[in-house]
Amino acid sequence: MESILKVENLEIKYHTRQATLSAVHKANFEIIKGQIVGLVGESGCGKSTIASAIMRLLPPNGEITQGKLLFKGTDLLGLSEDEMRHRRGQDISMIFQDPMTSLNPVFNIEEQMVDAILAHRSRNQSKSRSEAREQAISMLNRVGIPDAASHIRNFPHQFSGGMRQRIMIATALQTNPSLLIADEPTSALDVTLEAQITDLIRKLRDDLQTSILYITHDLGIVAELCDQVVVFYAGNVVENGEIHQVFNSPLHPYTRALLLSHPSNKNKTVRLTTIKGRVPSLKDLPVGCKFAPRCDLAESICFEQEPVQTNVNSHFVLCHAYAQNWQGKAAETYLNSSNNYQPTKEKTPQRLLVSESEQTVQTKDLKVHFKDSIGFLGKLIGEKQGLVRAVDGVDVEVFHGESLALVGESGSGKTTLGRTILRLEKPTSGDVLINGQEITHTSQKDIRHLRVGMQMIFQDPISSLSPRKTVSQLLLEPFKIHKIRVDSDKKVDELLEMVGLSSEQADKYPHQLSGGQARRVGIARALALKPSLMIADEPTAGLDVSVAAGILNLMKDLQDEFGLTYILITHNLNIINFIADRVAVMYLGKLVEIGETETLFSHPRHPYTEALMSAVAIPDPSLRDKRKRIMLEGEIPSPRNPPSGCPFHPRCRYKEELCTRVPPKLESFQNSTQWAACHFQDQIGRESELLNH
Amino acid sequence: MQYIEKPVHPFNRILDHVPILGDVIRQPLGAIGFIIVLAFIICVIFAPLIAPYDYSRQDIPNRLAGPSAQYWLGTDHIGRDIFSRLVYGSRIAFGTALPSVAIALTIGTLLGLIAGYLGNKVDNIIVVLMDSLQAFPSIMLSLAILALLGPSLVNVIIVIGLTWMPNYARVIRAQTLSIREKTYIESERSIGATDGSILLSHILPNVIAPALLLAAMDLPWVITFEAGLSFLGMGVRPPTPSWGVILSDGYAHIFESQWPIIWSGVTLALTTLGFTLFGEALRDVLDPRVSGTRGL
Repeated sequence: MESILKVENLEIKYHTRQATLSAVHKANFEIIKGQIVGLVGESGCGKSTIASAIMRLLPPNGEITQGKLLFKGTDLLGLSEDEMRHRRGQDISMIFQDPMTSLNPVFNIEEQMVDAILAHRSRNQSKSRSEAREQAISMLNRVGIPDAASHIRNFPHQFSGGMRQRIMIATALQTNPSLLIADEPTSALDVTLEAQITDLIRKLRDDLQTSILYITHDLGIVAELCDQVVVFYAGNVVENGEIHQVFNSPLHPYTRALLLSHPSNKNKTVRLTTIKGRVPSLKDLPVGCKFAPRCDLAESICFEQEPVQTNVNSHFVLCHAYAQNWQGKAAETYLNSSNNYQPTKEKTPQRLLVSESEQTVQTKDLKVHFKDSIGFLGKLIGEKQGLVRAVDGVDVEVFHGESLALVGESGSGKTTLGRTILRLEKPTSGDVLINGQEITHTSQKDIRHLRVGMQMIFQDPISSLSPRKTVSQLLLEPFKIHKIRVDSDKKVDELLEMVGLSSEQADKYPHQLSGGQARRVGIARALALKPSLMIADEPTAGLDVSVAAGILNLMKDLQDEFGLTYILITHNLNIINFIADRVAVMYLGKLVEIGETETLFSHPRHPYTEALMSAVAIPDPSLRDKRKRIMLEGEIPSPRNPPSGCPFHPRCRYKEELCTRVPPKLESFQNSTQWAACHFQDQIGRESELLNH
Repeated sequence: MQYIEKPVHPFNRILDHVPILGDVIRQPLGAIGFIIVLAFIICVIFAPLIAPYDYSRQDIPNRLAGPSAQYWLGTDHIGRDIFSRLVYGSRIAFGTALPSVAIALTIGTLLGLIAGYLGNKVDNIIVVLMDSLQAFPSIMLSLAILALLGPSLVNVIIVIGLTWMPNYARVIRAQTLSIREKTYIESERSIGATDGSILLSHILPNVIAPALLLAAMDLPWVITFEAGLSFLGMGVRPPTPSWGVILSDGYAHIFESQWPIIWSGVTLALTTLGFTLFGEALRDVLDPRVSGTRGL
């Protein structure tokens, strides 16, 4: 087995004005030819620093103080800048997180790709421009750009996000590098696209035998894709081994906690495991084991001495518990307790059956259309005004005390629907009823009073808090607005305690909070007036797994305590199974399926639901070969110009002539509580019935 | 662990009791700016005590003299002490600049907030108004208005305020447009906040900082503008000493003595520097993301 990259004792430091920070400490790992190595860890652990170090593109204040980066036997650190420049793009390529910004908008694709090939011409023998162009086109075809030869002259903005990421991959791989570094290449994409891209990466690896270093925080993707895992924590490699071993018998307490806090299908505990505390800042790293302050096993030695790498069951772990003179809780008991990995308790019994309960929200043929702004001159010259049908005739009911999840790819109209229910957006037609009261035509003044009962948790935790207000000012504001007299200090403490924050946070400004803390403040603020309806827009987006787990637990506890009704808007299907009672699937502004969570996951009736559910990456490597994934072709069309008939037909695998003409109605399947809008739902239903028995 | 109180310098203790200014002075550059501005303010208040001579006292034999023990900064073309004239001139400079910038800042901010927040027709009307105001060269506009109202100090203030106002309206409008779309504004709306309270307590504090900085940097410009108007005979009448009058008088005699120009130029430059440093420190203090904990 040929070693492509060997990282030995790598030590990276950042020099800042105040201090020298250790970003990576004694990192060791190896990438073998043709392998995909996953580098996982929470944000701020130094994953991206490693990637920049391998490319030797650290920021000016970063320094590699020790160690070796052996690339096929040569130490990259010993090369001159000129020699290194030849390796970049030629031997080692990189793809980045955001495909929208990593292509240069002023050059067309051909220029960008051909230039990259020609830049490395000396090594590729002499190549003419047209040969280079041929090579670029064949690479684009390979990554799935349809009709690449006629599209190669297009500019980046003419491609969709998923296509751009494919182009990035093609650009990175066209020089046939030995190593590809992928830094979170799918975290800006929808699940369906994520599945497409990871599938593509795996196929390319199989064809080209490229080694890949895949940096991600998503354990699901690692399990789907990688052969080896390197778990990173606070600049240290805490665990390193073969994928099945690490996932089936994780050794390091951190790895275990990460796996347990992942809200996936497999993990249906009533509460998710959270890790106490948070990732330490590089400014004050603990002495000894970096994870000790958050570890349940920690003994005094962990706080004093740095652990050494130990080889257990042929994978490496950085933990005192595996040293010979360990006297704390035996590592074996800990290993055995990995049985806890199975569900500990059954999910709480379903709350009141939906039909017996009252409706909190009801929408009737709700439509929200946005018109393009063409201005006065545009009207004069008779420019056509485009229409975006963000929400296009949705009837949905949400019952008291339940959690309904709204899912769909971005652009499906789920956020607009949520905002319209709260009258943050005015509907074009149709009605919204809250507790039986119609609010579509209520005056602004009356709406303000109704807002007491309905609240929203916004997507970005920090930027949804007014930046010049302290936490206590933010928490008291709802009372001030609605002229409710409260004992300020007591109320602030009470609210902070309710969401699990200490009263020290009261005087802080939003930018001084971590993402998780800011999210909790947002929840506290929304709950201040004891609403009955809460709409949560991507409540865990941008949060690390362990932090997100805490938020989900909290939301569930609060629901049990106050009988809240939740509408969750999310594209993260993993959390749905944990928190939602029912799921509504949206596609291009229309509801395509709605039903109870369990049923929808196991027996989807709509082909879109089916594809969505199977696109979810599950953090269990043993499933990846058994599970048959349904890949959804292409991307969601523009809502400006929706397809005729069934809006899903261009991507549907059951498509027939009928679908292109007649839009299907939302119909209940065999009089159950599951409704789907598909001409062939009976057939799909029977098939999945057969599959499951 | 025992809590040991760090010895605090008595000066720092005083600063702790001055809300925003204290933090401005704590920054070295802010302190320099503050000292310069303070020096000018002292000149304004105590001009008769500081100036060694009367501003109109003439010493013809010593006309266009260089700096000496008798005349610290020299004399002008009719033998008046430049230092005394500069000291008295600060009264005119600040007396016109401060109120006119205040007028521009207040009206401009108000219009900018309204235009940016309400958008649509209101925005269009305000923007067209501001654009047409700006379309005139400011000196022409001022001369036209002054010709209508008649030259007087109060009219100069009003005119400068009006000509400078569109700048503020534009800055505030642009800021408001971007802040209006922030999630936290929607989050305020979702808890039922009124438009008025959103504008005043959530948008204003976030948009005002660049306008304040603009104001600090505009002050010296306005002073020179006033000087220009005085030069054209539409502002302060001689022998009242205005920095602009000193500069323009010196300009007429530039080949005989450079001192009048140099000193009035240095004074203007110092004012600019002082207000800019002060303004930048103020901006940092007003932004909790930069300064730490204290906000508006």
